[in-house]
This record gives sequence, structure tokens and C-alpha cells, in this order.
Amino acid sequence: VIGLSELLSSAGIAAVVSAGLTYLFKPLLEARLQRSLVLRLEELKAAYVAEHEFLRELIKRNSELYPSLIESVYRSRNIARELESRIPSYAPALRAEFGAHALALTEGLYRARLFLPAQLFSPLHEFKRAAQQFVFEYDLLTGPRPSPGVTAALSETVGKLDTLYEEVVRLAQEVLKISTAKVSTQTTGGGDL
Amino acid sequence: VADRSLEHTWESDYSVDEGVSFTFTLRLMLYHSSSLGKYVVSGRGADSTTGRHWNRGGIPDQLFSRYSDALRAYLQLAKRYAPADVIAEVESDIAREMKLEGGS
Repeated sequence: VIGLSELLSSAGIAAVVSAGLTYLFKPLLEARLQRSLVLRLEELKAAYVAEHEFLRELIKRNSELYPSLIESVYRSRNIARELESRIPSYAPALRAEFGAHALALTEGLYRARLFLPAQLFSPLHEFKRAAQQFVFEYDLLTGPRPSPGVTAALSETVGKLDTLYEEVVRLAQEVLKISTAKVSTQTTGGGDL
Repeated sequence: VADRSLEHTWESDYSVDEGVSFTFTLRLMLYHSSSLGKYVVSGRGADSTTGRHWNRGGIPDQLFSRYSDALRAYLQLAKRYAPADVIAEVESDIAREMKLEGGS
């Protein structure tokens, strides 16, 4: 009985001490918890702002880089067609323009390399190489001693530029989320935009 | 036949701006690469005036295990890019090499 009385007494004292300590330190614990939550919230806010800034910068860069790259691709594809159609005569102004676009494309790829996704960089790089190949073959073909086979080689390269142009534009539109769907001309059923 | 090789070179002019022309040298090569253990067929060009390179990677090197296959690819490359007189020279050299290849 004595043992039980002591046990109950000890338990009572422990409960009182515990309640007292909790009462005393509650504001301190609450303050620490609050501070910890505020810090975490600040960290999350900073991460969000950094990510937001990064995305904004990415969009800004893309909106500057992509149109100039696609412009070089589009113009050089068209000039290649025009140059091919004028063969065997040599068109110096167009040839120089093609060279300028091929160079702009090369420089643009260097600048944009970091921001270009792999699926877009690959065909752009291929296009650049095909453009260089075109210059090589065009100069050979319009030179003083052209090879009989280089006409076919040039046609193949123009075909490659055509195919790659389509691929590059399609992929760039996908990356930039540009819709290519045409507005339906039907009056019923709504558009498919 | 591992040490056999072929090389044909010719020059061509091109104009960048009206009235200004440059000369570039184009070279076709067939050689055995001991590091690759294959025959390599390649076409390269360089501008002797400006030092500008032509076809840096434009026509990729082709690799062959058999010398006869490499000879055939070499002839195709010549027919595609070389002038008629160089093609005739290449055809003659290929015929000679094929004969040697058949006899060895």
C-alpha cells in the first residue's frame, strides 16, 4: 500500500512538473515553430521567384533567338531553290545572300545552343551542315570544270534542305507552343483551333 | 593490300563577290587506317588563297573492311565531285587496282 501511495505521489508530481514546464515553455516553442515556418516560407518564395525569373528569361531569349534562326532557315531554303533553278548560270548576289544566311545560322546556333532543346538543335545543326554542303556543291557546279555528277548531288542537298526546313519549323512551333491548326471554314460545329 | 592508297587532286575556282575569284583545291583520298582497321574514303577541300576549309564534315568519311568496296566508293565519290578528266584518271587507276586486287 505504501509503495502504491508513493508511486501515485511521484506520478502526480511528474504530471504537475510536466504541465508546468509545458505552460512555461509553450510560448518559446510556439515562437520557434513560427520562426521555422516563416523561414521555410521565405525559402519557397525565393525559389519560386528564381524559377519564375528563369522562365521569363528563357521565354525572352527564345522569343529573340527562334525567329532569327527560323528566318535564316526559311530564307536560305528559298534561296537554295532559286539558285538551283538558275543553274548553270552563276548568281553572285543570291550566292552571297545564301552565304550570309548560312553564316547567321551558324552564329545563331552558337548563341542559342544552351537554350535549344536537343530535338530542335539536332535538325538545325543538320540544316546548317546541309547549307554548307550546298555552298560547296554550288561553287563546284558553277565553277570552270564542274563534275558531271555534282548536279545530282546539289539536287539531293536541296531536297534535304526542304525536308529539314519542314522539320525545324514544326519542332520550333511545338517547342514554343504555337498552334498550327487551321480555323475551320464551316459555319457549324465550331472551329478546330 | 592494307598499305595501298589512292589520291587525286584538282583545283577549281569560285567567286564570292562579283569579279573576285578564289581557288580551292579538292582532294579525294583512299587509305588504310591502322587505328580503325578499315579503309577510309574521304573528300576534302581547302582554299589555297584564304586558308578556308571546304567540306569540313560535309562529305563524311566512309569506312570499309574490303579494299574492293573502298575502291568502288572512291569511284562513286569521284563521279559526283570531280571534273571529267579527273574521273577518267580515277577510272583508270581503279581498274588497275581491281586487277591487282583480283590477282593478289
